[in-house]
Amino acid sequence: MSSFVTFDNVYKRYHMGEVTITASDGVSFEIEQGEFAVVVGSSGAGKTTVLNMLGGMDSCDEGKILVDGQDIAQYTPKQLTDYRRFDIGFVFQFYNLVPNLTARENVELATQICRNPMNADQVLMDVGLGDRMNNFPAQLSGGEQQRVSIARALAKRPKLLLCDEPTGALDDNTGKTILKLLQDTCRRNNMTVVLITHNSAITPMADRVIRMRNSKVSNIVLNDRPTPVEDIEW
Amino acid sequence: MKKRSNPLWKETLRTIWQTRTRFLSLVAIVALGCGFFAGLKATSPDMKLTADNYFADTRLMDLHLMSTFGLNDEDIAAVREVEGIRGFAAGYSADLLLRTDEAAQTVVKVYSLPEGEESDENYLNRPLLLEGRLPEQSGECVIDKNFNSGLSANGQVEIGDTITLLSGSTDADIADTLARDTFTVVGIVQSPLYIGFERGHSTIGDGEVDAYLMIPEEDFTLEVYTDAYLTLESTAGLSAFSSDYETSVDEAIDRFEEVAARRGEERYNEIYEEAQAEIDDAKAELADAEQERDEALAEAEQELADAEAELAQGRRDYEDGLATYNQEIREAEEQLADGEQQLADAENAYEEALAEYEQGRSDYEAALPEAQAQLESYREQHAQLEEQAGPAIAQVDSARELLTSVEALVQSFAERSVPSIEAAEASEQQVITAADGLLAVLPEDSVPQGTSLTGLLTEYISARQSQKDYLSRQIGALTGTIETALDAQDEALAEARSGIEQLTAGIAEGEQQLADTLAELDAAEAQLAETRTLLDEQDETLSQGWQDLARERSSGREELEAARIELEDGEAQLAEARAEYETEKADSAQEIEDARAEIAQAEQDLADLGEPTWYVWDRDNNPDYSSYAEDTEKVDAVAAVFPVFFILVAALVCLTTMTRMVEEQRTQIGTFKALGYGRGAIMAKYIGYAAAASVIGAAVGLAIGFKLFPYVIINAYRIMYEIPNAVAPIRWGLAGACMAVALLCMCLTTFAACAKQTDEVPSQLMRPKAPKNGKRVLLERIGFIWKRLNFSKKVTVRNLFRYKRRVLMTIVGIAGCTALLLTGFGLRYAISSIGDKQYERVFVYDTTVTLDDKLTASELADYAEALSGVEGVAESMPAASRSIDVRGENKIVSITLMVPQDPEQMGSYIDLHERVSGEKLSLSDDGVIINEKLSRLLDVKEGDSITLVNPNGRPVPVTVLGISENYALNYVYMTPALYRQEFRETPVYSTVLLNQEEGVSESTLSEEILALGDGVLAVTHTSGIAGTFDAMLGSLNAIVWVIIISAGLLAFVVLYNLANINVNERVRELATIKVLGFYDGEVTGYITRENNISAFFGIAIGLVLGIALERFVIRTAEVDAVMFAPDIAWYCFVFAGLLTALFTLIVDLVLHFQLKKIDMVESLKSVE
Repeated sequence: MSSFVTFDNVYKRYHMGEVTITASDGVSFEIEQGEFAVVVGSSGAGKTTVLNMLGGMDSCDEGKILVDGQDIAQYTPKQLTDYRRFDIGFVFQFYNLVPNLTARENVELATQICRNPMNADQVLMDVGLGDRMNNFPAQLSGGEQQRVSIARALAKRPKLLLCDEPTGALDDNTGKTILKLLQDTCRRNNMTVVLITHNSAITPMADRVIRMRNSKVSNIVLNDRPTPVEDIEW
Repeated sequence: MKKRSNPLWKETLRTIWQTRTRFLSLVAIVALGCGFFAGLKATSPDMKLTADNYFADTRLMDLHLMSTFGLNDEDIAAVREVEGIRGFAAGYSADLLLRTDEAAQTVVKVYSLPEGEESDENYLNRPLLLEGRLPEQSGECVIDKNFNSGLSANGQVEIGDTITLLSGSTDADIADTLARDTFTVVGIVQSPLYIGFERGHSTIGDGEVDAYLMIPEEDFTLEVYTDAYLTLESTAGLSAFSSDYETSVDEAIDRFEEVAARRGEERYNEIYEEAQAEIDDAKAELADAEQERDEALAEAEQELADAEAELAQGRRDYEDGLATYNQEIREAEEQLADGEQQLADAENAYEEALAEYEQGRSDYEAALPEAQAQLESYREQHAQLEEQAGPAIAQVDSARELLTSVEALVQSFAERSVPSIEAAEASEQQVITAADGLLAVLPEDSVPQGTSLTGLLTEYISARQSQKDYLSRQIGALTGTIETALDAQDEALAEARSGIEQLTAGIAEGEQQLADTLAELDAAEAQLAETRTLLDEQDETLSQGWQDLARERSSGREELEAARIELEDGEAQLAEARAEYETEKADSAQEIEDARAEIAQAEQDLADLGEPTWYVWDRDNNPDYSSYAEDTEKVDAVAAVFPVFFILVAALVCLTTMTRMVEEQRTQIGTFKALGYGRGAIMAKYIGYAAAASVIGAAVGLAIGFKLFPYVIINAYRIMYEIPNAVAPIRWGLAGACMAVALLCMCLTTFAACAKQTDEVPSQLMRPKAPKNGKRVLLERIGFIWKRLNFSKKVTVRNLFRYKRRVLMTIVGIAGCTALLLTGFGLRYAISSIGDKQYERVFVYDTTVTLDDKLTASELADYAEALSGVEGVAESMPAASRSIDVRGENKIVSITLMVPQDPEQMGSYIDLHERVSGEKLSLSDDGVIINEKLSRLLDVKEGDSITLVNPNGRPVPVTVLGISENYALNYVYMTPALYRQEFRETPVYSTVLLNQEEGVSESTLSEEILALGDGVLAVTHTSGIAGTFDAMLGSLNAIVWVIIISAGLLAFVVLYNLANINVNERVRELATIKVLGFYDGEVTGYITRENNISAFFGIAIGLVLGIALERFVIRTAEVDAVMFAPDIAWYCFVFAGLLTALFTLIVDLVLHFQLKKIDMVESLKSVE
């Protein structure tokens, strides 16, 4: 039985004129169902490429990417869109809320397109924004905006929650609450969460830490007893 | 060089490259604005230039001189003396009819072909050869390029065809005008004398010249020139549309009119004298002719009388001949009958004689033996006697005989003697010798012996006279003695002698008797045979006679019959001759009468003869020249309105684009500022960017606009005007102005956009500009609607209110596009529908029949009657129709005056009604009904008065009773009573309007109507007329296409540009929703929905604006003779709206593919 997420010797190359940049150079790793996985590496280590491919935003040139038994590397653009639509929740570094929509509407943006969404209000309450539902993003703080972003991702009941430096634009405390939210969500809903960060300080809270360097996986560490977020200091 | 390496400069170039789509769209919008404006603006001057070049190249006359008497050499000389003539040419022209198979008459104007060298200023009105070649010899011609337009499909004339010309009126011989009447077409030309389709009026045919043609001057036989053309020195180099030109021409007209007045008087005198002389000649000729006629008639009369007498004689001769014939035949018959009778009698007599003869013959034969026996007995007795007395008697007889001879001898020698016996004759010698025998009879001794008589005689004959007596007495004595002896003997013999004699006589008698009887019988037999022959001959003769008679009777009858026929022929001929004579007499009397009338007419004419009228016309005499000038003004007026949209939209688009660009590059501006670049230097980049876009755009737009619009529009006008290809130069002044304005606008907008940004301090600039905040819109307050909207609709609604400027621009652009399209379609409809409207709503009749207006009223009535009887004609109404002018305040309009014979019936043929209300109008004797366009042209309302210009009398003022719907041409309707009252004449009902029965074949109907007689000139079905309006649509389609393409470009550029800005501004948002799993269609919809809603409002507004624009354009483009449909058909709205929607969809589609290309990775990037 394979894992929930499997990267099997995945290559991704970008051609910039004469130069070929190999962004993923035989990346292989596995993530089990319900795990909180962190992909960590410095800038340019290839972690964003991994995220793009895993999130169905980009395709690979070689190798297999199995998610819940399906090889998404073979997906057509349409299938990829469906995959993003129904299977993936995405949390951006810069929240990427639609400025013209209120917090609730931003969540509804996601719930309206998937099959079995959670109640938008409920999700927002879950992330602690029960009283800010009718505010526009501009009226919310960064942490609040990220909560909306997470709520938007969760509302879809995704199989996989992908987070791209979710704390990158936040102060430490706010970051922690966000990470807490993510970890809680993972535990409570048995959701597989993949978090990408350059910040190694986060790694102790993860079930699995995948380190990347020079477009390759340098090592994978399984953490039997993850540290609760509150205990982490950075 | 240093500037080259300026990083700002490089940066600018790179920016242009990086944002090439934006740059190109800026270029496009500037090009569109400049091109449209400059192109339309240049069209009117280009139209003028095109015409002016054409007029100059062909040396079109400035003035055209004509005189009602023609122009003779003195006239020409007098005109040429006038100062200021640049070029002068005299020529011939004549209106003639073209012989065609059609009933309708084709009137052609025949010109003498202008000739001359290229450089010759006197070579005026040069025809432009379009095809073939110019005539080189007599009998060749070149034709008008529209020659065929008035001819039917099978009457078309092509190069190589021969055409035949006819004189226009029956009393004019074509030979008076032309040396020949057939011409071979060798080429097709276009003459500058005509720039439109109007070919002028004529006094022949239907009064409209249909085409012109040109023939060599030598083929004209006219005595005087008909036309003189000239160009003026003062107009050299002037545009025909300038006021200087008009002034120059007006001044010149005054000069020529002076000459015209002088020459008019002189010509009058010349002509008067000449005509008087001619009349005198004619009178003399007439007198001669009359005399000649009288003589000829008298002679003929005489000849007839002679012939009659001769014929009468012939008749009498015939009668006589007939009588004679009958008489002769009768006589001959009688004669023949007599002959037959006589023959029968003769036959009887013959039979009797024959019987008698046969009796005689038998008697004779019975008596013959007895008589013969008697005779035999007599002969026996006779023989006995003879035998007995015979010798004695014979002796005595011979003696006596000798004696006589002797006595005779003596006697003969009584006076003469012969020398000897030998000298006597032989008979005398014989007698002398024998004489002695006589002595034997004497008894013996009675005479001395020796006496010899012979001797005596011998002596006697030779005796001398003196002895003779002696001797003769002796002889005598002797002879006496002998005689006595003889007598005695005779006496003795007498008895015997008598017996013998008796017997001889008895025998002879008996024989004689028998012979006589026999002879008698033979004679009788011969007589009978002769009689028989005679009788047979007679019988033969008689039957011959009968045959001859029969022959003669028949031949006589034939002869008589022939004579009779000849006679009758003669009589018939005479009758004929008589009739001929009478006819001739009457004819010649009529001829004389005519000639006399003609002379009287000529005298009257001469008495009426006024001075010749001279016409000094400028080009505007042909209305097409002034309408062309008007059209150039109309184009200019339209040009003033249309480009407004484009300029407005272009300016807005530029402003938005540049603002956006400056906003996007906020950080960079801040960086430059921080690096210490001055405000000017930073602005220079953006202003340079804008300037480059506007210079390139303007250059492209002007280059295209200056050519495209004039070409398309002038070519469209070329369908209505005969002008050469468009001359469309680049107008540098206008180009410079456009460029300057474009540059200024762009730079100012850019400056305005930059000014705000560059004012800020670098630190602020370096930070991302706070995105525009989301705001609640009014709609949200209406919960029940808002809740129903899904998020993307909500986004759309909010965005619409968030980016007001962009929405506004979209709406303006789309509204402009829609309005333009509506104008285009509306214009097309307005013009194309007038045919249908005219003939379905107003002229509801089916067919017009044009009768010859020279027919008399009763002939016309007969035709009208016959027409109503033609199969397929449901009903018909005669009407009078004539072209006259009507005068308003300050305008004269040509109209058709319609006078229906029965105004009550009018409604079935021409439905007069008010357009808007549909209220029916009926004719009355109080005034006239005029059509809507005419009322507008003359600026009159119901109850106002208009003046009809009666060419034959005083002007006719009439009251307008109603204004009717009408589209094509201008009409005034009047009752017959009013017409009679005002025009003092009876209307000529030479037009008959027909309504057909259902399902009638129009061609059959035409044939049947045309077959009614020569008085039917034309049959026109309205179904055919309606189609002719299609021809006008050709020109419109080109303009409509220009409008559609321009509008499409406008819509596209605006929508695309704005959508592009929208996408660029929101690329992050779009990438995000893509990451969220939105399908491509949903992403496109997310962004285009805004566009579409803006477009929807734009279309709605555009449709409203379009109505106004269409009205304006139509009013501007309308010509006097036509009222364009004032409404706009629903489908025009639909088309305009749909087409704009289509343009919007195309932009959506382009956006769709552009959105697909958006990389989702964008969403991961930080906000710059």
